[in-house]
Amino acid sequence: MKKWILWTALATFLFAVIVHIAFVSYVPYKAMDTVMNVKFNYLNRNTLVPSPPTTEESRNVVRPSPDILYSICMYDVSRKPLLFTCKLPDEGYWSASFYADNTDNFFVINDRQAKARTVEILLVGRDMPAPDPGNAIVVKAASDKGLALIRMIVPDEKALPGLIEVQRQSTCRQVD
Amino acid sequence: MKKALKIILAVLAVLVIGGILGYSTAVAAYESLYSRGTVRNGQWVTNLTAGSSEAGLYARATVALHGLLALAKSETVYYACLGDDKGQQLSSSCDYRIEGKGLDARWWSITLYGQDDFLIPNEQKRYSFNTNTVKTNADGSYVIYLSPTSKEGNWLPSGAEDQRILLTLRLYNPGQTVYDNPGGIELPRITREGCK
Repeated sequence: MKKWILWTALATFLFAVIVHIAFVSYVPYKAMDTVMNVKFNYLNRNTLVPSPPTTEESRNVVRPSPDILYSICMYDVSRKPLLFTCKLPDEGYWSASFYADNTDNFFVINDRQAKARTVEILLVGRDMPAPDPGNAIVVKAASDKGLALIRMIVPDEKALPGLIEVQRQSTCRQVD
Repeated sequence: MKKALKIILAVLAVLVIGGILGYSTAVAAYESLYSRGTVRNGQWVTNLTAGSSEAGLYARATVALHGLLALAKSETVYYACLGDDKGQQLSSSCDYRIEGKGLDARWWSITLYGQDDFLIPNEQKRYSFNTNTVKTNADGSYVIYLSPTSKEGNWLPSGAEDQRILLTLRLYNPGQTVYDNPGGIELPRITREGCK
């Protein structure tokens, strides 16, 4: 009788450990999947979409910054690389950041690191040979599907129209 | 027959109790990491691995639920504040005084969020103060009034709904002192002045 209880307790403990690790590991993937396939399911893949200024109505991603103008691209580089052509503002903070399907920010570049007012970034799949990048910065994606965010700080309301114009000039497209 | 019943009961016990235990300890572990951070600086906590590939299992889960799409520390350091100077949970129905001065970063912002981690609706459409928008004194210091009712100066409205609230401090392109001593740099102080 006692042996039976002991084995059950041991099995329960081991199963609890497995569930614990599996659940904690699953949360980041689930969060990214929800954002990409539920919250932003109305957006086309491999397209850079300018988001409107952040307000209380911005409820797709937790803790949005109201001081940042975002553009978002849900990428899928499993078949073809993706070329981002980013226009930078004349002044102020700008960055382009790339996120894997486990939430890792595997690459980021900001305006101070950029060598020109227009930056090209070629995002390639993990197992894909990079094509001739030209002037583009080549970035190997940490996962074939993920998300790219372009951020521009909005210093004040007066700067907003100009930044929206800059935001619209950035694009991404698949290349062969 | 008796033995078969015993085995079924044992398997059920393993699945149900083990499942509940595994799930609840997982949630408790990452929520605890969220509220404690890995570095504490007064009322603020931070996790410098947030957003990066150095993040461990629990840090990733915490970021996924409370700070998805965070930048790695090379770009931005995030601090969160859930409690006041007395260690009590921040509440939208209380008045707070946030006192600070310039921070070692290219640009900073303090943003208020509701318990759902989203911006709090308010008529002023004001959700944060930052390097550019905060009104400072001659010595560069500032006071932000966090309150549900209108205040003179830097008023950050906490909205009409009674709820738990939290602040996020973002340091974009922080200076080396932030990386060297994230728990010791001088950060804004949050003092409770009264509650409804």
